Amino acid sequence: MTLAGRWLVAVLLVSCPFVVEMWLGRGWLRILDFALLSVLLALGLNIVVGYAGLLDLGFIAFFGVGAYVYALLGSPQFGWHWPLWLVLPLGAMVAASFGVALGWPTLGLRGDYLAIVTMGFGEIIRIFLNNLNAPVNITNGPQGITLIDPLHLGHWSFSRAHTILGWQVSSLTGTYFLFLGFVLAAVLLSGRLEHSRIGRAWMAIREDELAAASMGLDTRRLKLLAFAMGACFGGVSGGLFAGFQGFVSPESFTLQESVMILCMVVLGGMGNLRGVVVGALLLALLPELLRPVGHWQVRWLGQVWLDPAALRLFLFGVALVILMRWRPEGLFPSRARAREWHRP
Amino acid sequence: MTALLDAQQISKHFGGVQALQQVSLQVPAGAIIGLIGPNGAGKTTLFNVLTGMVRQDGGSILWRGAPLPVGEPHRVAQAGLVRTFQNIRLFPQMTVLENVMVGFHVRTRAGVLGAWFQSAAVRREEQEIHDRSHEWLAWVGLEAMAHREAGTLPYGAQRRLEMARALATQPALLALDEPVAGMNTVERQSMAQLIARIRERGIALLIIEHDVRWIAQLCDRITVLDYGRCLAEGTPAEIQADARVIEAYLGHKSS
Repeated sequence: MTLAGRWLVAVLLVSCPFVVEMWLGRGWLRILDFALLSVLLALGLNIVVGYAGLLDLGFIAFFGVGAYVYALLGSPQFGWHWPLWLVLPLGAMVAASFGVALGWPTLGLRGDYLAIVTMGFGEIIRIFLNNLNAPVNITNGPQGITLIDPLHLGHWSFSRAHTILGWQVSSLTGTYFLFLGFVLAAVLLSGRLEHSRIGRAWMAIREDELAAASMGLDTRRLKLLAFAMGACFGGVSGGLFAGFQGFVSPESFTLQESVMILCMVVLGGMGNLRGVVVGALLLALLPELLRPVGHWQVRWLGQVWLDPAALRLFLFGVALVILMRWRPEGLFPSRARAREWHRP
Repeated sequence: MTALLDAQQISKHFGGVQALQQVSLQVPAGAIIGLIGPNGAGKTTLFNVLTGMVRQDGGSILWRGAPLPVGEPHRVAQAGLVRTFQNIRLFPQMTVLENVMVGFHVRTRAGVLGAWFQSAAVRREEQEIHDRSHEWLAWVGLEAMAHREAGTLPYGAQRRLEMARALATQPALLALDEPVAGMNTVERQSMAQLIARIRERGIALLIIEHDVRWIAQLCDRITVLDYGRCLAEGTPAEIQADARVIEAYLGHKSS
């Protein structure tokens, strides 16, 4: 990217929340904030699926673990109110250890077999969260945990509006910049990993695991590292989600969500950071863009013919099918993926 | 003097098939040893056992006098015994240069934190991996193709690349599984020259090959396998004159 291009992107990123809030309203800014968390999640999954080539269908579990760590340590549930700077890294570490716990027994598995086990793992975590309210109430079961501490750093709360240099900065705008910071950091760290000794080793494993081992790569350790690293990103995203939403319950962490994140990574272009970011933003925003299908029907057809909720999902599915038909390698594929799908 | 690699009485069976029966093999430092035998004689199985990819049922493998890790290919490679494959196994969608850079993994250190914070030491290491990978590519004559995707190289170049990648791990012993299979005479001669140059660097070689004449011009000693047994062992001249070897290759002379 040229220097001018970088400046343009920076200006766009900074002005985005103000423009959105002014023209589209707070609702859309809130949606944008959630979309940034999806980007963070997709960047995590990209390490596992895109770099190391390990198909993970239970990735949302790490998001859930991060969210519950935050929720349990910062809510009236146990009466603990730990600060953000302590809870987030802790959530990331707990999620990473769950990543290793998932990776360890599945080291010998690849492709579809691994996908099935990870899918089961994701469900196990959700069911645990659902049932850990008895005999000792830890997670409050299906009711979830409410009144979670809002995101705050010291005395700076992200749930309140602030006035900076005469500018009124709303809570959603403040949150946007907090999340944007995490996303940018994740992009930077992912990019550096990709072009490092470790990143090359992951890609070698993805290409040919046996050849990688015969070159002296400790494939077991490297695969566990990929699982842990991806889970780490997921855990941070989960913690931010809990603090932002103020409420977590197990139903936010279903298989459907795991599939959605995988779609973001695949649709954008596995292994390509720009693709993953764009894919995640698109898929996070598309369902919201399709929300007014009920209104459209009334305006153009006079009445509601099709159930808006069902139609919305249908259109979403159609969009995915079209995209996968014409660009199976994703919007911005990594070098390798593009060639895989378009052999001369 | 102890041999670099000393495999004693290696046995391996797959179900009812006895792939290897008490095969012994020594590779002294800096030597070129040939491993020949008809198809299915157990040559590749022996390679797989030596490089930790397959666990032997019996027998011991000593590396510089100490046992070689069993069933852990990456630790065998770390010890300095690296192989190539009969059906070339590159990282086909990485570039030629990246393939060789992966070879340096085992002799370098940078981890996740190094990648993230890009300390001076890490950047220096990365630069060195990069430069030395180019050197290896030039050394095997692939410099012009450095930025091509490995899977798109012509066959002979893929063989050379696989060797360059293995050399980047700084092996003491390089094991080549049929390095000239499917090559014409000219390509065979140029591969022979490359192998001779590898030996000049003090690296020992263990080479599987069918073509007795080709391997005889290169090797110090040859081991002949047949039906999983060690049929003969000796200098190329001895092997070429050995009646049992001729029989195994050509069958009985009918009178």
